[in-house]
Amino acid sequence: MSAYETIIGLEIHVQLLTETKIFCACRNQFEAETSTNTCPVCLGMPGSLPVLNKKAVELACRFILAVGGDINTTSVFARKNYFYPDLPKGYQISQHELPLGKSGTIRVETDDGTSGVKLQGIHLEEDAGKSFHLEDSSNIDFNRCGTPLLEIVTMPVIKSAHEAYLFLNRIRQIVQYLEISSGDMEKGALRCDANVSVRPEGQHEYGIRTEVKNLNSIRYVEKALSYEVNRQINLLEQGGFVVQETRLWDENNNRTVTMRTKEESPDYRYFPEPDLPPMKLDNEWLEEIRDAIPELPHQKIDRFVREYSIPQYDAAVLTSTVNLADYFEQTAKLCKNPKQVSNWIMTEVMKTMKDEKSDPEDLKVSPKNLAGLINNIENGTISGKIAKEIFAEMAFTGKESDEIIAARGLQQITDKKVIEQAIKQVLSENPANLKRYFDGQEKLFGYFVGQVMKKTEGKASPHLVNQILKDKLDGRKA
Amino acid sequence: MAISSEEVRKIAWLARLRFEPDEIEKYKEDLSKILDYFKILDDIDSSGIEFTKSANSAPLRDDIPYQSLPKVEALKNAPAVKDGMFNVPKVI
Repeated sequence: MSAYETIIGLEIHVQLLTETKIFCACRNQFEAETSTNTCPVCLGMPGSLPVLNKKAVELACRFILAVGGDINTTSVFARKNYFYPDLPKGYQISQHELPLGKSGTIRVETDDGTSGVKLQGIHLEEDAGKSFHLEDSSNIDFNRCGTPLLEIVTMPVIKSAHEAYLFLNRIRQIVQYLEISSGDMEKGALRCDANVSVRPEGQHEYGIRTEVKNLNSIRYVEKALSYEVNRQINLLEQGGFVVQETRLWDENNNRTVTMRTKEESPDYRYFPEPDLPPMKLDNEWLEEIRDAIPELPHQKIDRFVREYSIPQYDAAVLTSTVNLADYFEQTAKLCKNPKQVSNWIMTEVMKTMKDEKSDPEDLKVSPKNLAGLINNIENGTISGKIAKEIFAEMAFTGKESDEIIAARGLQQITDKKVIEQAIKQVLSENPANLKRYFDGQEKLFGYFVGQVMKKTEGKASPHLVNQILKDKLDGRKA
Repeated sequence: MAISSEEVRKIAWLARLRFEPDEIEKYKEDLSKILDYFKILDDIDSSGIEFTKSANSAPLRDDIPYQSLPKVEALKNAPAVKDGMFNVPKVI
């Protein structure tokens, strides 16, 4: 089988977190009771006129500036004409020839370094109503109609399904960091369509592409795109050819299926929206928006690696959300060993959050208390094993580790005499095992350590137990 | 400017209209005449005129909610109502 190159371009729609819709003052809350957030504008009644929401423009500009894109200070809205029952006007107000934003790059950390995914265009448009397909008819709820959407289109530069997944994840992170969208794919706040093609390595022209839709969960994206890439390669390998068409991801059967074959590209007959003059933006306002942009995920990753000397992998996990990153920083500032803090957060803390389906803010273990626990390990008061038990209690009660250690007498035993005494007991209680050990079954060493730990209720310093036991056994052997 | 029957059929489909064969002939003529009429614009010298320059900016509205239509009013224009929503012929 010859080698193939994969080329993917993504089209992403992000619902913006505004109070009201993009062209009318209805609430932007499509989960409200059906048909309660509509008006003549978003129902497409004759004679109604759109008025642009300033906040939607601001949030869109925040994104464009954050990813290093250029803003067209004069941009134009356009009508995209098509008939579908979720679109009452018979056209969607979008942007076409002069969109709000162009270019920009999104950095993604891949398995072999970083890649910069270049963006082609970023523009504002309105969402359509939400359809519910019944047995023999369809219901449409127009609460969602007119929700402000930011459409982000990449250049065809993504090289694998995995990179597409990483990119989408990064977009989700960025919109959450910028507080412009919830980024929740399951709820449709972030949606993704993909253009996929493959070509034999070395071929200059692009292969025929298909468009894959219905990628409505971050988990499906990689699966669906891998499936589609392999499907296309298999077709070409068998001497067939790819048909330009739209395919739907069928999550129940883990495959893509034909939705419609494109005999001709859709005829949207774009033209400038006569009800909205061109939108002109003031440079001063744009500078204000730029100044308010917070630190972005990739910047945080780099800073964590630099300031806390933790691996990039750790930094990427810890910066997955702003709250988690803050939790790490607040804890690390109170500890000497940031890597230890990172280890604790990536295991116990994240496991607890997952079990409780909670956020760092809801966690009963505050950064200060976690730092206290880690410092207890670092200064030898408790062993790492006991610390996990203490953490579980902290997560349940919200108490400090010092309090739990004192109440339950969990201080680590570092008194050599006490440990020696325990070892003596264990050895005298296990003459048969001791003989087998001296006969060459050296792995019994671990068994003895375990017995000593058990005898001390897990409180003996494992380091000291190992050391003293080894001295004792080596002494007897000689 | 002559329009073909094929083009008339396509435009009709885009507008979700169905024409009888004799109507296609009629609209072929009508649409051709309309396009010819627009040729008047060809005589205007529009060089140097950018349409984005001539207009004022689209006004921007503050993001403050205003009362929406009562549900009953909103659903008045629906062809049919089911489960408190617009009900339409099956689309998928």
